[in-house]
Amino acid sequence: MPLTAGDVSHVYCRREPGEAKALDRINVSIDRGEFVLVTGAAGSGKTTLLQCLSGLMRPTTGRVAADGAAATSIQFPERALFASTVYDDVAFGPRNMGVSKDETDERVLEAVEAVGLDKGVLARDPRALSHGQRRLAALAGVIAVRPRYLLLDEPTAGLDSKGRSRVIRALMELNEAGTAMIVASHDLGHFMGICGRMLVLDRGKIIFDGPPEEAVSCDAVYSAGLALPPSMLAARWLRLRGVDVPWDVSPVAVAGHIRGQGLEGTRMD
Amino acid sequence: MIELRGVSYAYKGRRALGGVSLKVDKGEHVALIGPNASGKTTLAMMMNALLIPDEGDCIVDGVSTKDDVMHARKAVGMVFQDPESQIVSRRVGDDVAFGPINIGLSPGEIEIRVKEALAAVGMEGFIDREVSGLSGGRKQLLAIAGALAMRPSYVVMDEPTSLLDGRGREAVGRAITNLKKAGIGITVITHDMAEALQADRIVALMDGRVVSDARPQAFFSDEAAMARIGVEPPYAFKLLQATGTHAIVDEVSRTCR
Repeated sequence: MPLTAGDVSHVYCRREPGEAKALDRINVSIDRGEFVLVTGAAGSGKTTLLQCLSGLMRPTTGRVAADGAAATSIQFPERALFASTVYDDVAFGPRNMGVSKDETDERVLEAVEAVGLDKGVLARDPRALSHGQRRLAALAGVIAVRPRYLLLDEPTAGLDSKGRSRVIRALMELNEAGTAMIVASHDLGHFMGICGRMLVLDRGKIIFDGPPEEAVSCDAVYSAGLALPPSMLAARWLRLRGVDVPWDVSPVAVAGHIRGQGLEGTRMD
Repeated sequence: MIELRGVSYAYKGRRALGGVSLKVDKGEHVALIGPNASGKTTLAMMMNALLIPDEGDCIVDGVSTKDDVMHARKAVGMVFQDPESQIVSRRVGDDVAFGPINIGLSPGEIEIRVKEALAAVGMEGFIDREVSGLSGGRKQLLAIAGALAMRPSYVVMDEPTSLLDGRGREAVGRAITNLKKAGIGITVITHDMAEALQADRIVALMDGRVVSDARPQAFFSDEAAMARIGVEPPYAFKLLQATGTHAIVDEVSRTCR
């Protein structure tokens, strides 16, 4: 049995003036080993969905079930680093689960390696690390719990290109090793290229659920307020003029199609 | 004009800025780019005198921050990376009014400024909303509105869009365009090259030094400068080069305007 949400709805401030429905009858099932991108405009319900799927929050109605541990990396997880060494921070989860000292050692090493950090950082104070390294150290703390499903809220926000690539590489490797990834992000340019499946939320409902290649031909995706990759906007522009191209079409290919189809003078209306 | 002249700064012996010189004029939009820990945020904090240079000067409209801290703080509004750290009230309208109330403006004037600032970020309808019910993106727009309510001559934004969706990015882009038209000088720290492309100038930092200060067109054609700080030209720029001026370029630039 995979990680499933059945008819999950969530309402904040129920029966209060600020009442807001964040999730509206969500049905989704995520298998072991999947890499799922959850995206949608601000306020569409991404974070709420992640919190319900991970068990951090109980939905107002509906049911979430999983066949293994689900762990969550919150937004800016590095802000929650608290111990005086990276080792103690990463070990916090396993220790709390009552894992033996030897196994804790093993898990900490494995987790730090999984995110691509050098073992040398273990003895260091997290505050002495760069921003990108602190993000990776925080992710290691979540990985040390050995979750079957890893839910990550904006794991690349605020990182430079090097930091982003390191985080993405770590997530891909963990996924290849069998951990299911559920990533909520506005960073479509990076995640559409590596996820197998994309969920688009709009006002608490799933409006698209499928591989990224299919999103390019789904009209609702364009009006959901996403920060779509520029290549996808170019692809749509060409598709509307009868040229079928993939969402990650290159600038040079776009120019070729424009010349080839005689679209040089075409203006948008 | 904000002018930095040979500014150096170190945190407990660790150098963050080493002799930085740069100017931001009123009505100008400057993108400040560079890897993490290259000194971008430290530089931003110099501009409104949250930090004072160890060496060199930061001069805001003719007055050095070494001589008058308050002058720079009034003239330069700051928007930090984390909106949570700047939000002080429960109600949206009260949060935007916090600065104007603190400088003793009349209730009528405060009301005008709150409305004006919320409109500039596209949040007119949110004045009575609870801050806690806002999404991360909206909180970031609220933080920008809080700075605008002080009617600064300059605004410095530290990654204002890293948590925003497409609509939020468009709203911030529109706000920047409006502020520019109103003659405000804008400095935006960003990792997003599509955003940097919209600026009048791109200033690239590396290890506390300015490695490039050029118009976007020139910067994105300078392979060596881009390689040094590890960035690539944005899609819209490559498309512009491949197609020449064309409607499709406007289409793909849409979300960063």
